[in-house]
Amino acid sequence: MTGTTAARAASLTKIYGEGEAQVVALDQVDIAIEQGRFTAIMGPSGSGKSTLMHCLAGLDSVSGGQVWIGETDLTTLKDKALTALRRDKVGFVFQSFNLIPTLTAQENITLPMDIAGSKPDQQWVNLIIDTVGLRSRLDHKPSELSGGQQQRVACARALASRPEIIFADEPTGNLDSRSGAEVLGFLRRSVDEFGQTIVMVTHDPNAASYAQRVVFLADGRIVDEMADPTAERVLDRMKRFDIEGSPATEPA
Amino acid sequence: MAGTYVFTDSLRASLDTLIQQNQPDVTIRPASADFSPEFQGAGELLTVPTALATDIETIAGVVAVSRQVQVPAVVVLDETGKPLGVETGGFTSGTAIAQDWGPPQINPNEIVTGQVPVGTDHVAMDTATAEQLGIAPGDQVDLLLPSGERRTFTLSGTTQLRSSSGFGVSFLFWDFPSAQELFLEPGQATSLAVLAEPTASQAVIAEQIRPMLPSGVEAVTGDEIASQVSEQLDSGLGFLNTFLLVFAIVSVFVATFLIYNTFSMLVAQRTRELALLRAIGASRGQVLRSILAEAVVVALFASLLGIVVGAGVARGLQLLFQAAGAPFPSAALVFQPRTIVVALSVGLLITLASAVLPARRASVIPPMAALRDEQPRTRALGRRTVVGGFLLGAGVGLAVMAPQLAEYGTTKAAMMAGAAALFVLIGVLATAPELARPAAALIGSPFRGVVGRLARGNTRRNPRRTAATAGALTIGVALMSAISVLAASTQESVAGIVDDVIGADFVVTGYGFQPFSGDVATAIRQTPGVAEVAVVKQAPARAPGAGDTLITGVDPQDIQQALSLTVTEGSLDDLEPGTVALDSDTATEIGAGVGTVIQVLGVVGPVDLDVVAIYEAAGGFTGYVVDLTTARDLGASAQDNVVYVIKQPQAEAATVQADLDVALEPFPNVQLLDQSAFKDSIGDQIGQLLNFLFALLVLAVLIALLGIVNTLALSVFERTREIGLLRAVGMLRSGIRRTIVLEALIIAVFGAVLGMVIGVAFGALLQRILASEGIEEFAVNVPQLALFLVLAAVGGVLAALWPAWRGSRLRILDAVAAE
Repeated sequence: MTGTTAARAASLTKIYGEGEAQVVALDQVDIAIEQGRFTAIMGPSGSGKSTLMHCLAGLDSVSGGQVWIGETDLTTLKDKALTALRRDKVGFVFQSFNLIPTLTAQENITLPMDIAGSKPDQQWVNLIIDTVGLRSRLDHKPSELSGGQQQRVACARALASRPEIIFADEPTGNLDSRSGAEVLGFLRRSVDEFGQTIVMVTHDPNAASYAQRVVFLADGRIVDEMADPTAERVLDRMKRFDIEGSPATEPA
Repeated sequence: MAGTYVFTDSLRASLDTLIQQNQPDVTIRPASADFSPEFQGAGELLTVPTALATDIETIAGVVAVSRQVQVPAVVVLDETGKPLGVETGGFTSGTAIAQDWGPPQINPNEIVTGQVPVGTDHVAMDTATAEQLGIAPGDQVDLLLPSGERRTFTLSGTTQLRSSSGFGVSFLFWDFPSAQELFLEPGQATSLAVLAEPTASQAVIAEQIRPMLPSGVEAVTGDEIASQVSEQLDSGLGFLNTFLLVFAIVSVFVATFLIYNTFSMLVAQRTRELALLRAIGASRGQVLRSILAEAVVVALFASLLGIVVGAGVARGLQLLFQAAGAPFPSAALVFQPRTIVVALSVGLLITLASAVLPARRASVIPPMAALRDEQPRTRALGRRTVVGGFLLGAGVGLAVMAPQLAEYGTTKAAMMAGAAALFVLIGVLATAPELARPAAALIGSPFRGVVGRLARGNTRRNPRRTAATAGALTIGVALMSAISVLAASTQESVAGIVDDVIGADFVVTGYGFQPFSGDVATAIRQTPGVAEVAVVKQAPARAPGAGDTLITGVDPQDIQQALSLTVTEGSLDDLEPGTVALDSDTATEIGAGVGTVIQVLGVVGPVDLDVVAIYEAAGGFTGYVVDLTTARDLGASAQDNVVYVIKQPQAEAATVQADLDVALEPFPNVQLLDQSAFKDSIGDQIGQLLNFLFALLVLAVLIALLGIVNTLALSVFERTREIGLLRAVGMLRSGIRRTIVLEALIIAVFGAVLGMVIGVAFGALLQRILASEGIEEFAVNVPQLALFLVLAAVGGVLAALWPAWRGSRLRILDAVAAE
């Protein structure tokens, strides 16, 4: 556990709804994401893993606790500053690719910089484009690309602005296994070769095995974590959730 | 739509009440007083001997006979000595109807404040006029009598109609002897009103009266007058109604577009939901019916709402007219069952018609679509474009042919142009999606950066939708542009005619084209620097090929100096008593030439006239032209309608004008115009009509803008995920808003430009067709068109505000997580 933290949460609590319908999605979560590492967040459906990611990324407001990206406390920021922070320091990869259909692959990749009005580092962008192997598809619209290609565009977009941290939400959820492997391999390479920090939410043990560290979440709490996971070990750990049920329902 | 009906019905109802209420049982009046109301009072004031009253009172069943005086064209002067209403440009321009204050049984007016007028020094007037003047009973008011005499009266009281409010015309009242003294010869009245016992028959009494009457005087029952007036009103209001209906149809057309769009989008949005229904076993018919049922519910709701809004619009129109000083009564709004039935069924029909296609499309969604996250399909535009192109071609073809038809009659050519316009409009709307892509790229090109690129991309993404949304605006703007071009051309042509035809240096007219005293011409003749004076009189008459019209009376020598008229046959020099000159169009229509004898019905009876000359109509100078003696014979009053003034060649125009201004000071009801002012005054009239048309078209444009709101709101909804992503990767709320606003701007400008091109083209076409009617010049009011474009753009931006606000308020998470 060397290196500095890229993002951090302290006593992070997120509650949806009110009164009877109240759901505690995150319950006093403390987590630190190390810089330059590939962290996976795993957990069964409804465990709060997506909510955790959204809160860490400044996409969702928190009900309690604090969240930092770098040295910035997100919970004190207004929408404008938060937007600027996302734009400059955070990259996103979503399950459903979320590309802008009217823009070409190239334009989608440089979108965050275009929005910021900053000039992309062309050398860097070229490197990424070659790495994801999209050189020949740059002028195509998303609808002319396969799912795998679209997700690679999304990855390239996330990397292009050299964010401090990239959040990937089930990046392989909509892909076949081969395309998924390509995308995951690419994410891992960006950590190994470019020192990128990546947080990935997934429920797929195979996907998690690409990460260097897996954090297990159940019922809004961190219940376990694992370094240098393999698909088998993750799967084993996940099975135990199914057998034990969720920790919250265990007698204290 | 509903607004139109409510408006005209209200108008009709209040006028009807007015007529019914105001008619005595039998009226004794000069014959031929049944000319169209706009021509009444233009001629000699005809009278009935009051002595008849004594005889009539002896007839069984007659309760009372009231001697009446009703004189138009008394001018109310405001405190500056100008005719009331001149400054505000009101339609009535300060004319008043002078009446005697009759006994209560036949007097529909009642005193509001003060008391009944007694004596020649006292006058009562309607409350509205008194308020306009800011005077109360006891105050002084100056009136200009038809004789040209200016006289000060004391206001005795203010009046109002018992049953409804007034017309916007001023009403002045005296007691009968005073009115008679002021306006008529002793022993005369303008009419006699007979009040019968309720049980007595109007017709029987009228029968008994008729043998007593001298020639030129008739007895008419109240029912007959009511139906006569009602008929005249019908044709007048019918025109208004048709006119408003045309706009209603345009609005409905635009609305159909809108509904079609909305349902298309709804169906596209619900593709998955509908496919799911199909997957779990709903039949195509069921899906179709479910959409149509939805359409029916929406239509009923919207139509009901429309009727309410329509009533509001009608009220707004009423207020608009009143603000413009138009003589429309302000009675309560009237709802006829017809209005509601028509509004409901039209609403229902167009909604169903426009929902059928989308519903059909919905019913053919395959069940498998439920399983795919499918973007709404953009179908090939091929067939539609081909059909549209064909229609466009046909329309252009018709448009090219239309001017040729002009020889066979302007109406035919205009109808052909109308058909061409319809074809072209539909053709353009059908092909517009093809145009939308390059056009959006072009219009959007000045907007750089990611916002511009996104907005451009969004408008090009679904060209069909962009085109359909813009199409509604296209229709409205096309009509406005066509009218603008036509108006500009008319103004230009009129100016050209004034330049070419009017050789006179000055023109003197009455405000509101009311006739004025012959002393005016005398005063002008005596002004130094004046060389020639040509007087024009008008006589109301019923003439072949012209219907109820005003026959122009001139001195043939004078008028040829003042106007350069082209005479094609005969000579105006031959114009002497008993002869007439005709414009070539009228001559052709009735097949008359030099030597033909035409019988014309003047207010004093029929007169035979020999045609001695055929001339080319020049602007307002058209129709039947006779010499001054004949005009008087036909019943023209001693008053003049227009005086043309030619200065001596060596005299300074400014000096002469100043001298004339001084000479005309005693006549506040006339205005002295030099050539350019005369052109302007005609231009103003056209401008006024134009503003009225625009006000109506604005409705259609508003609906079109509503369509933009609709489309954008749905687009925003559809693009939730994209917007979420943009926000996630760092676009500010303002960026999202700008993108959507820009998209609206592109759509609006696209629609407006397209409409403008079509509108200007058809304005030009109509101008060519109407060239023979005197619109010889083609002119485009560029600033006005530019204003339309700017307004459309501004409207587009305003339309985008709400969707943009909504888009920027979307929660990022909803957007990102939306599946």
